[in-house]
Amino acid sequence: MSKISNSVNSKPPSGIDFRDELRSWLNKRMRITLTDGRILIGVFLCTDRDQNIIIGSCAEYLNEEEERLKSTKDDQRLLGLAMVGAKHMVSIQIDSS
Amino acid sequence: MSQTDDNGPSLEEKKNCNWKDITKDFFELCQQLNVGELVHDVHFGLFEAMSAIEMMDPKMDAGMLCNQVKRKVYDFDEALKANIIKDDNLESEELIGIIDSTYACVVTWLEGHSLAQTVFTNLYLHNPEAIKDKTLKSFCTAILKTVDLIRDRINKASVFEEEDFQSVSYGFKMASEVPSAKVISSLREVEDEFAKKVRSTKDKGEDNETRAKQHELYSAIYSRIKFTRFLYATLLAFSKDKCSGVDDIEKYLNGILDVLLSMQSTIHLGIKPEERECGLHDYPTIMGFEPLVNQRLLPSTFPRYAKITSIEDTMKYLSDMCTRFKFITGVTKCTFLHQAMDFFEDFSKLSPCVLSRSLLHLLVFPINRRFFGNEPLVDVVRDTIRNFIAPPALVPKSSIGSNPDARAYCDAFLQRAANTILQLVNISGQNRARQREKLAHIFEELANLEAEADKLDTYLHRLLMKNSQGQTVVCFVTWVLYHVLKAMFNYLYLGFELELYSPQEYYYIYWYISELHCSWWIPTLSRADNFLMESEAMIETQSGKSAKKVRRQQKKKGKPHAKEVHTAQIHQMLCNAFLKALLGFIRAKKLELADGSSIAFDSEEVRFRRRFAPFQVLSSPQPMAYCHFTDTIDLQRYKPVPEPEHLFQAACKGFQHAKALIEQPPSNQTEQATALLRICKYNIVAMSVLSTGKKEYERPLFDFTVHKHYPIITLKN
Repeated sequence: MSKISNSVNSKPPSGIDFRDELRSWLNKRMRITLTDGRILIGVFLCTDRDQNIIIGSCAEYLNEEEERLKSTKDDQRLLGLAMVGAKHMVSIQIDSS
Repeated sequence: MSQTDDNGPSLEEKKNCNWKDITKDFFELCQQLNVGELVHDVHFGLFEAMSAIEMMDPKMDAGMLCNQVKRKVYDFDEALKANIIKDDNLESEELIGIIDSTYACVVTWLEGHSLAQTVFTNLYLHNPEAIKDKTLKSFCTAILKTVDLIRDRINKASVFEEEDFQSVSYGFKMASEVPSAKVISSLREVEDEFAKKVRSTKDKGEDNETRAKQHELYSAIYSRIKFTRFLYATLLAFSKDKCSGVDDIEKYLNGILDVLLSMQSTIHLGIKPEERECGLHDYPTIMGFEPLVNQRLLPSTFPRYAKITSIEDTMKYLSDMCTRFKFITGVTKCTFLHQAMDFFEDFSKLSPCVLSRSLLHLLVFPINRRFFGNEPLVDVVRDTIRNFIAPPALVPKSSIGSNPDARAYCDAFLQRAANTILQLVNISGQNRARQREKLAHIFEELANLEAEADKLDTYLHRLLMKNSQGQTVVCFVTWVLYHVLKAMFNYLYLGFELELYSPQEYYYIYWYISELHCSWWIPTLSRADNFLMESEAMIETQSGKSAKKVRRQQKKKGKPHAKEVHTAQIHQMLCNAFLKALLGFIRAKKLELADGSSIAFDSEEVRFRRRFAPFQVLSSPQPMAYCHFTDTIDLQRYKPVPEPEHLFQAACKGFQHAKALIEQPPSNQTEQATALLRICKYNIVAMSVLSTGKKEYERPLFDFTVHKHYPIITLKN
């Protein structure tokens, strides 16, 4: 797993409304892959300059296989409010639908 | 790493997830933020952020890799498939091991750990239906039912706090579809089967080692299954209405202790766990147990990991628990409320487990809050007050007893009193430390009840005066005072038991207790005595007996509260003797007092006030002030000022008096009395040595091992 995967849709952040772009992701579902392979899925609530992310109603999956199996059965492990530091993140995805 | 959920039609939002990677954008955008700037919604602030758990922090993140182990953790089905556990044809040694380890888990759970980390580390309990081995299946079903029943009992009694018991069930299935009668009958079947096997392998003269071994194994399983059945049956009998199961309980418990003995002697027969590499929450287990199987069921920040009790300690715990069960059935012999309340207190002094506390509680006050499930509590309180002090208003056929207004007033009071009594009973069911905490808060409630009683007494008194009977009636107040004082004594004595006081404080605590005894407790009891005897005399004379004869009769019978007065005198004497001894040590400069000169808030007066602060809300007994204390212990009043030797001599006399009192009837040969007697004897010796003034020593030591409230004084050389 590469440390930071290439973004699919990269565009240079425009200097003025970069905050708006960050804000546009607020309250959307976010999927974070951690360095130990776990996947967290929850609602993006907060971030700061150091890229600490807080996600709410967060569910934890040990790996992708478990995510596939369990997210549909509603027996995932719920963590609630969780904070992830930048150094523990491998990738960040946002629900664009 | 894009679309992960395309097979999730059950959850609509999941189906539509369309993951877009923003890792790089996110990084770049974030870096443009100012230091300390947060991007967040208006509804989400720093305050909310505080409660987030931090991922990858080993203490907060239970799912983190370092909290997991390298070996694969199997659940029941996986373990079965992987041939790690057997579900059929288990060896006898395996059965014994599994049963013993399961009980170890149950006991650990009863000591306050979570079900997930204890009982349900046993994989077999996750699905007993699927087990083919008949013995194991009946055992597992029975354990589930037992655990469920215990949970139900403890929850209903609600005399626990979080440190006593974890009631969360984590949604485990508790075999609720199996009726309890079936559990018992299937255990019985297995039991009979093993009984046959035991008989068939019985030694018949020929020297056969394997046969003898078989015999031993079969008997071990037999006794374990029997224990399981007895335990479940006992708990079922405890939950029967109106104590109707008590006879059965006694029957089962008599059997259970024998069975436990044979279990204890066969622990070594069970299989033992193999050593293996272990992580933080992991430990070696035998077949069928997986400490980590429920790790992810636990809340993300679970504070502790459960150390499973050893099997030897488990057996000890179980046998102690059954002894306690036997003890608590004795409460059914209490006919009066005060007796039952004393029983609660005596039982609580043994620091019993949460299960036996709960069972006792439910025996006396089941869910319907009736006394032994029968009588409404208000009626019981009425009878209790009548027996305690016989207030004219509650005596049948008395002039105010038939006054409808007075009656309504009384009933309202009784209703209130019943609530307070329930609270007091609940407190005595809690663990010792919580009792003290809760007692500190009950004084407010008691003070209110006191005020109510006072109003009622005044009202009744006015009525009586109208009806031209000239006695002052303070009956209800006296009764409330009785409970107030009991609570106060409990509160103060618990401080000794919980080792809250420092030796520098002992002398004013003993002083306070002694004052309460002589100025409040004994007068309260004698007032109740007088009322009782007067009322009795009145009834008897009304029924035609001569007043003289009645008085003679009463003299013969003795005062109703004589025993309590006697005990109170002993305690007062003891407290006084300790006070003198402690003053002696202080005067001899062997016990240094807290010096208030250096730290303003550490003066003795501040400590004194803090110690007795909960009593401030009470109107009677009036809280005693610190100056009152310093006045009474002021040795300068005497001329010449007594030397330490004189004080020790006085203490010695005090202990001798106390000893003489304990040896007198009506104090009987209780454990309490023997312990107190021992304390007196030892302290008499120590005091007489000290009163010679020749003994060289560094400081006194206080040993509370014999009695929790009174120490044996020894001298450190």
